[in-house]
Amino acid sequence: MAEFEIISEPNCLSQESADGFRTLIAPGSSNVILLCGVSAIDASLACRLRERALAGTWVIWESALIACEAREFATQARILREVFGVNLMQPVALSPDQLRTTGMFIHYRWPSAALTRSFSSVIPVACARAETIAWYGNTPVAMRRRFGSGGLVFLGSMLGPNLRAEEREAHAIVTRMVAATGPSSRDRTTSATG
Amino acid sequence: MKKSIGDNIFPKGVSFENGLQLLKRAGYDGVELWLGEREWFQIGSTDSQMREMRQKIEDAGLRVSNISNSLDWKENVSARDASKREAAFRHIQRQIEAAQIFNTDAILIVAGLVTSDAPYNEVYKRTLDSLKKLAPDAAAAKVKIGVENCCSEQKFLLSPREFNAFLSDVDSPWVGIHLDVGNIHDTGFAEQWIEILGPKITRVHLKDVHTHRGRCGNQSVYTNIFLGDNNWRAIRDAFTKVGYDGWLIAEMEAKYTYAPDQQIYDTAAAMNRVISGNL
Repeated sequence: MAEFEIISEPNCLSQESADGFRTLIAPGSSNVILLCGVSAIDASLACRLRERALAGTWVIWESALIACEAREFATQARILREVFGVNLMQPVALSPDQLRTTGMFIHYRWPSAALTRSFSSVIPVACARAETIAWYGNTPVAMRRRFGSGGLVFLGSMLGPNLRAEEREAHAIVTRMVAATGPSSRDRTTSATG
Repeated sequence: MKKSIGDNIFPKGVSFENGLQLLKRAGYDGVELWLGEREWFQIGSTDSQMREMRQKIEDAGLRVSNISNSLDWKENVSARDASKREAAFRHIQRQIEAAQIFNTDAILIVAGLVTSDAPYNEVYKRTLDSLKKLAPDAAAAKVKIGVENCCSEQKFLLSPREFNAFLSDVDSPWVGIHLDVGNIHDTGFAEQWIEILGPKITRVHLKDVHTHRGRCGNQSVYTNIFLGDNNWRAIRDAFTKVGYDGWLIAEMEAKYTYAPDQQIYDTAAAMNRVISGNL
């Protein structure tokens, strides 16, 4: 069975997310790198990922900046802005009142119209040359942007835990996301910070 | 989505025909017929009588959303007493026949009653066997059996995960869940039941529930839509999430001391808000 290349961090949230993504079956030849629940990707790894994107890889970057210190957030946000042109706003913790009024679910438009569970907080995202692919209420929380032959899909609301919880809709979203990004050469699985 | 409500909420003294007219005026699309509840629909009702009822329903501009029964509480497929189990099979098979006569494709049953005398694992096995036996009849009639989640009353299949696993054990596309979003009480969350059971939902019962109240003497935990503790936005979104676009059937306790027909109108208005998502 083919495997995705997965980058995760040695904390519970990232590992839980990686477990979720591992439930997916990679297409025979996949050119997708999954960053599962990450919050501390350093600049050099980010630059290498950008190079790979330019060469045809799709980087699906699931952020766990919802559960980090302010300095950690600022550092990661700067790297994403400088390397990928993605602007992150401060995470929004979803209070019980907000969940009641705005709802429990993230609305995806790409790769297909679907709803999936929110995960405690969302990271609003903006990128001038990107397509917003998911919203929480009116807040964009996921986007995709092409770089050369590949690109970046940034997830400001986590999908990995939903995959691990066997949520059908999350499975369909990510499966279609991978399919829409197209196949290329196969890479090995890694598990380390960059 | 379409709105329906049971014929068991027709105000006392109102005839079947006038009850249908009331539903039509209130804006319902259909009616849920309860076998064994009102005098016009009993186990002894003939096919001919049912066809007459169907004509009246269609003349009123309505359809039948599903056929339910109030007999399972006394004659259940999980009963130790073989005669009660056989009676349950008979009335369920009559429900399936009625569904065909009334041109609907779903029935509601309550399957599995756990008591101090009838222990859980025994009820599980017997209920599973019974549904596997009924599934071919449902398949042949193209009528889905919706097993209702009466969690608190049945003390059986108390979580969405267990209910889902049970239906997987039955392993028939003709046996699913008739999901009642009010019956979950404080043991869980209706939207999570919807999310987990999604494709297996045959029909939905709508009502609200006071989860903090618990069972207290004569006080009911159930109440009208929007007056209880259900998260209606989450419930509505969950329907969208799983792609459920079928019948919503209000199952209300008759609460209005005065102007009982007003409850029917008020419930229809609340259901419109649920359907439109204007919450």
